[in-house]
Amino acid sequence: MLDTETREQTGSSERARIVAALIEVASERGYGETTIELILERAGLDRPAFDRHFRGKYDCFLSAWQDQNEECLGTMIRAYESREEWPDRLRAVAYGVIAGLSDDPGRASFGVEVLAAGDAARARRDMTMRVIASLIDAGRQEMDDPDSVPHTTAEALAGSAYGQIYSRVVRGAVEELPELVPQLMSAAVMPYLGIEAAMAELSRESAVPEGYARGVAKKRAGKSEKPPVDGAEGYPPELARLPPGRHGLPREFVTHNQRERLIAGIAEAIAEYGYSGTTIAHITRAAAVSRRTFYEHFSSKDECFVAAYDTVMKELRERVSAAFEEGEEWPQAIKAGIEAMLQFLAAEPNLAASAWSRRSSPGRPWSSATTPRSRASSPTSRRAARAAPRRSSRASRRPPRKRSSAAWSR
Amino acid sequence: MPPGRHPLPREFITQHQRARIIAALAEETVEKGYRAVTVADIVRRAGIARNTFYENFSSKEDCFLAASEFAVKEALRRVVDAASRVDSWPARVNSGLAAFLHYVATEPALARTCIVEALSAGPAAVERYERSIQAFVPLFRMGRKVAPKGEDLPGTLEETIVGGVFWIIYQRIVMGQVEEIEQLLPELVEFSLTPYVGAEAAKRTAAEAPIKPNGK
Repeated sequence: MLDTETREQTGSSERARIVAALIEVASERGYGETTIELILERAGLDRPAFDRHFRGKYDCFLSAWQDQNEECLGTMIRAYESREEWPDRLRAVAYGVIAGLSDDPGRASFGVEVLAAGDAARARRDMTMRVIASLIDAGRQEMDDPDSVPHTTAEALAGSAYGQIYSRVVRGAVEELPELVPQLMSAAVMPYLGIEAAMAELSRESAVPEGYARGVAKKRAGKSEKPPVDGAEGYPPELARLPPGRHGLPREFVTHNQRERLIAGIAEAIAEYGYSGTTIAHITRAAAVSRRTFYEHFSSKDECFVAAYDTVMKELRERVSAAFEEGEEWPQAIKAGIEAMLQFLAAEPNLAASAWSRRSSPGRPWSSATTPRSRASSPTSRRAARAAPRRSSRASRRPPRKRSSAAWSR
Repeated sequence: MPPGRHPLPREFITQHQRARIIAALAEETVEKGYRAVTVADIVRRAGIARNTFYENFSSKEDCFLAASEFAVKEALRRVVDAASRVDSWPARVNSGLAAFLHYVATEPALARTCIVEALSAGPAAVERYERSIQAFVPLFRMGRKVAPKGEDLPGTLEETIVGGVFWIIYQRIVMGQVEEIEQLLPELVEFSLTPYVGAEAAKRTAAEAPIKPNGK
């Protein structure tokens, strides 16, 4: 009999093999043509192995996508932190992202395919985009008048950079990406640093640094002369997942508006009962509205959930903007934003998956099995949780949400 | 009306049918997402025969591409029309963008179909999306003539501007704030003009009222 540790290791490598196989198959065949059978054939595993980790194809897709987004965020934050000056930081981020895409074109095309799968995948991507926008928006700290740039500017720059990278990936022209960086950088610094700085970016040579990841690691190791940013502990190195049970929606969401009340209501209900255990009755009770009111706003629990997701994105943007307006230092502002996002993501991954699988295969019985990630309170996540802003005080009183582990530990 | 005679020219009917089918596709897409929409849904919503659909389009994808093409053409027409009623290039950007945002605000279903789904619906739609962006690029490229260092500006600057405006619109649609979209005009004008005329002049233009978009 395997001891727990061995079993966990086997489990995580099994899961990793399935995810890797999924990404390969999906990038070759497209989202629609990918089947569990093909994934397992590629991974060299059997169906019970799949069932131990995922509820179905959609769950698997979404988990893989979630992993990629988190990894990408981790790469970006590390790249950003590896430099001192804002333009250098941004450039490091751009090359970091592009190096990742060029090294692994399969993953790049997976990032295109997965979006065909619905709102949950799209919402995750948009969360990542928020972080990128706030990295760009940090440029206003370089200005004499930080308020002089409209808040949509960074968002627009991030979105268009994404669009330009995305379209090259779709065209299979990943090799064009490095030469795109000076162009993107030039456009990004222009509103903050002016035309001269923008021109200087253009004349820089484009290159994906050799051994990029190692370079960043070395840089970090050799940076001890710089005192750690006070928030360093708030940046869990691997962007550690937070314990479940917190919804990340501040109490301020509970307003007079019915729709917003319902959104806050679903977040509360989910934190209390878990997604699968949440009923419309729970939501309406938490929101103190009638069932009929619920159906005036949403056609289903899932629709309400997606609305909650979108609301968090908006909140995140506003929070970061507000932090800037109050003249807070960038690290605090972005840290708050990232923590809010992690809180929400940590509470949510299987929720989105459920929204997704219901839509795709109506009538399929809901399984309460969750993704097989350990969400125990690790020291890092506890630290991050402590530092998390505007956290609902009820969270600490609430017992950890029950998560059935039966499906993957048997 | 005697039987066998058509009160309307054939061409008119075809045009009208296509527009109706496109509108139906857009409405269904908003309701359930492009992926889930079937030709049967479109036919039902448009109130036409299935045959009629296939006389006009070979498939749902074909219809989607036509919807996108229709929307881009119409948007471009409105933008150029609005822009041509003022003189300076910055003022044209101001008025043209105003017309564009107004169009989006009045046709939210079509806008959602063309902008949101194109960024979410996988490879086939992306090419169309890129072509939509390219359609607006020349309008901004004219700004290089008024810019002091116009020709030295980054080659993909116009893609960045159009793509950025599209992205902002996309985000607002996704967040259900399409009715607030026209309020973004000054910010987007400033964003678009700054690289060409500098931040100060861009702010000045952004503070001016654009000419009223034509269509109500």
